[in-house]
Amino acid sequence: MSTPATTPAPASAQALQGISVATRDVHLSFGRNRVLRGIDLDVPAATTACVIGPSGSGKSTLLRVVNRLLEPDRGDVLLDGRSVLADDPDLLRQRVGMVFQQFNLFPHKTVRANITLGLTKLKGLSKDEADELALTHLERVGLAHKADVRPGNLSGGQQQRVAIARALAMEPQVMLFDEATSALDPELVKGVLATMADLASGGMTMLVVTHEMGFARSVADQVLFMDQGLVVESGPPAQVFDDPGTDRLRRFLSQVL
Amino acid sequence: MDVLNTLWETFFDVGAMREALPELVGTGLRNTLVLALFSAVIGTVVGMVLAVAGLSQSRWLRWPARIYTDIFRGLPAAVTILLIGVGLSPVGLKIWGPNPFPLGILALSLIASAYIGEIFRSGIQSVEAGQLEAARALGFSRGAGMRLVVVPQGVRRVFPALVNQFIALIKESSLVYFLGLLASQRDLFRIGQDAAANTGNQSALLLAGLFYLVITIPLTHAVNAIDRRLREGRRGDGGPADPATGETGPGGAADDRVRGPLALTQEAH
Repeated sequence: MSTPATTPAPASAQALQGISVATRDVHLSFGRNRVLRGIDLDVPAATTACVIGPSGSGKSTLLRVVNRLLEPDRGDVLLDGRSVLADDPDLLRQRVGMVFQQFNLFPHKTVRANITLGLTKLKGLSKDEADELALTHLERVGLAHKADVRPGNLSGGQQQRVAIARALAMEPQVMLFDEATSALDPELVKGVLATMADLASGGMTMLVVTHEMGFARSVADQVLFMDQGLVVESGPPAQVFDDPGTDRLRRFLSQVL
Repeated sequence: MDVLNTLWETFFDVGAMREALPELVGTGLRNTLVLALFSAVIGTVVGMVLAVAGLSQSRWLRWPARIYTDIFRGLPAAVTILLIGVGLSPVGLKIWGPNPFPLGILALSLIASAYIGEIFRSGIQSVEAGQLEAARALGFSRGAGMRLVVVPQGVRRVFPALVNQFIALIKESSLVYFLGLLASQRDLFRIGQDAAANTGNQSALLLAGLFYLVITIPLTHAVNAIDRRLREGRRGDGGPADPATGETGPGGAADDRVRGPLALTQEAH
């Protein structure tokens, strides 16, 4: 398994290595509504950036610009220092994993089939290869025994961990988390956050939109506070949480903490 | 007492029924099933095309689908069948001779596809936007995401409505008698009706009606059973891993997942 010559890195999940992500002056409007108004972002390789801020501040939109589910009106998106706006968006998205608030597992497919779908149809793996890789990634999130179950039979926390495994199986170089724990019951949040923290310490580059301030404080290398389509403040967690420089951030923190 | 007796004779004359039975089974049932089956298959295929076109981002696909649907859903079935079956008969005569079945099937398919297209469209539209977004986030194109993830879920949700449409089709197939049928081309209704007209006794027609019920009622119950299986399958098909349900959290989210599609199925009904 450890011989890299046989297969390019599928089995050893630790091999997932992140690359840097950046945006430059990203603007995006929906009609009159200017959702992003010039976002600059730098997430160095293998680090975690947490984006916090009130709802409607453009956090989720920003994530969707990074994997081009939404195209920016202006500005640039860089992976590993290179602009990706001219790339084939479908190929770009294979390199950028995304985890959603509502999990968005495919309910008509088993847990295993949720993971193998992209592997067989997009990466051209054989069914056996895909099955094996799916199990490897399910083991990683502690759910290999649920491979043949439909997502509807799982708890929210389990579903979200499957969603993470599904994204990781594509061997992305960046992971985006869009309020991954917001739809979970409180007692299920911990397991998902632990999986995410594991991933962060394993060398993945992560951009995490979250309301979990504890997670942001302990896992993030940098925290960005967004409000009304702008990054109002950013820095290491200690600075952002303990020494906010703006009234807006102070107000926000006093509401959520 | 006389009236009751007459009524009984009119509807339940066993002799008249026995006389019509061979033709009903040998000719009528076969022809009804041929008409219904062919138009169900064609109607389903064309309906899927209409649904996808109707949901397309291009107005040049959307509008024709819309117009087609409005016309064939809006016209009385009898009008469509006569317009197509009689109006196009010169063309039909050249291609397949004086057999009214192909044009009858065509007309029934046009009608069925308009309804089935709307059924599919509502099913596909009921699938949460997050499903397509998740597929695209994995790297699937919009088209592949629709085909692999969204459409299969949408079709499942409207399965009962689809079978209702098949039942309607079986009944509407009787209208093909407008096109003038040779003795061997007659369907259940026509054979029953002819016998009733010849004898002044409705028993043969009643028997024809019973044949329709023999087809449609089991279909209704089969679809209910399948629908239940599809829904409960979400919980039940854990198979060997079933004891795991105990581990399922009290989570509202997990439960919503199960209830969401369920509610939609009933809506589509």
